Parts: sequence; structure tokens; C-alpha cells
Amino acid sequence: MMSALDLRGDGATGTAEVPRPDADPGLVPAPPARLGPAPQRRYLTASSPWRVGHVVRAAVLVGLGLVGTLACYYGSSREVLLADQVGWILGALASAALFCLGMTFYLTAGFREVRRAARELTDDVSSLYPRSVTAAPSRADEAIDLTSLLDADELVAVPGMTRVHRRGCPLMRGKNAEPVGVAEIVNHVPCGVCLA
Amino acid sequence: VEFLRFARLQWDRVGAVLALVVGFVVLLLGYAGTSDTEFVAEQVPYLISGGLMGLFFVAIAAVLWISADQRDEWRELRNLADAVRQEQLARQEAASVPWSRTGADQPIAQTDDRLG
Repeated sequence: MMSALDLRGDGATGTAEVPRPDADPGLVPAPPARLGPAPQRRYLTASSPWRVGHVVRAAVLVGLGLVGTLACYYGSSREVLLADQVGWILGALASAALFCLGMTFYLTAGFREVRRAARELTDDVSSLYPRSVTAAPSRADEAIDLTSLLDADELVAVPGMTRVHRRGCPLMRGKNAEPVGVAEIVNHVPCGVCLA
Repeated sequence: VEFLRFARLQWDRVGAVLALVVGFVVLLLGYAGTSDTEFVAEQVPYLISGGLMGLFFVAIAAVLWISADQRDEWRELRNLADAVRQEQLARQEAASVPWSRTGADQPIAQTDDRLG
């Protein structure tokens, strides 16, 4: 089993196993914090983001592009008519496409490996330092006492509109708001901004 | 000596600069070759050798530079992992209760109040 300290997966944790005392059977060893199912993280061992396969495939594509371009240069330089050179030009463009493909593959492979390593490191750190997340109290839990607001003459509404607001609601700015009485409030809906 | 050490450590960035210089030189040579002749058929080989190859070198320079940044990021990730490992070592050394009563099966990290 790889312990929490064994980030490199080489077993070198720097701590010694504590033998279980036979005198007290109620004692059990506390399991150390772990990094999940003992994965072998590549970013801990590899010196560069690229695998050998990445480099080989990119080198093959780039090499084909370079060789193709040189061949097309050689072929076109032996022709004297532009019409005969068109094929070589197209070949050079195809070679350039291979070259670009190889370069793009190399870069995307590197970006992919770095992103994966960052994700794995995040997973490792979060498993080492678990945090309990407490949800923010819902605003629905904080019931607004409309009755007291009504008694305090705090609720207003614009005649003809369906929503009731606090007196200082920004949505009421510049509007002809009037206090709402007990009889009228049943016909109104609380404002989603000031009474939510 | 200092430059050689820098070049050895930052070989990809040094290579990028060299490839950029070579690329521009090749582009200039291609331009000089095409400007020397008025026949299109004679200009095409310069276009392929000077133009395309020059662009290839510039592209190689860009890729080398970006890959150097990726290597830096990779090293940074390893350093972060090492820092985490060192801190875990320090925490485990500081923990004086390697044994617990039955049922205390929580990992050390989860029972540390300082972690919040």
C-alpha cells in the first residue's frame, strides 16, 4: 500500500512502520492518509511532459515534411516550365501540411500531458487535505416577515402593477409608488429583488 | 562559461532563438534568389527552398519556445508535489499518535482541525 507520503510511489516515505502492541488488542493502527488507489503519477517521475511515442510520431511527421519539401525543391529546380513545376509546388504544400501536423501534434500532446498532470496534482492535494464544504444558507431559509413590514408601512407598489416592494427598493426609483394596505397585498407578488 | 551553462539549462529557448535567426536568414536568401531572376520557373525553387524552409524554421522556433514554457510548467508541478510531500512528512513526524483506539479509522489528514 502506498502511504500518503509516498507521492512518488517509490515506497520512500521517510517513516517507519510502528509495530502493533500485543498487550492491548483494542489498539489498531490508524491508517495513514492515502492518495487514492496508489496511482503512478507520471508527473512525479517523468522529466518532460512528452512520452517517447509523442516525440517519435511528431518527429516522423516533421521529418516527412522536411524531406518532402527538399525533394520538391530538387524536383522543381530541374524543371524549366512552370506548368511542369505545379506538381512539385503542390507536393511542397502537402509536405508543409505534414510538417505543421507534426508540430501541432507535439504541442497538443505537451499541453494535454501538462493539463493531466495539473489535474492529478489537484486530485492528490485534495485527497491529502480534505475540506468540508458547508453550503451557504439559502435565502429561502430567511423568511421575510411581510406582516411586520406591512405594519411598519414599509411595503409599496405602483398602482396597476402586480409586485410589492420595500420602500427603498431600487426598482421603485423614480416611480410613483404608494403604500400597500392589508386589503391590497393579497393581490401582489413579493419583489424578486428586495423581498426575495 | 556562464552562457554555456545557460544554454545547457535552457537549450530549447536557445534553440528557438537560433531557429528564428536561421529562418529569417533563409527567408532573406530566398528573397534574394527570387529577386535575381525574372522567370517564374526559376523563382519557384527559391519559393520552396527559401520561403517554405524559412517558414519551417520560424515555426520550429515558435514550437521550441512554447515547449520550453510547457517544460517549465511541468517542473513547477513537480516542485509543488515535492512541497506537498515535504509538508506531509513534517505533519506525520509531528503527529504523536500513530495508534488509535478501535474505530478511529479516519486518515490523519481528515482529523487535523487546522485544515479546516
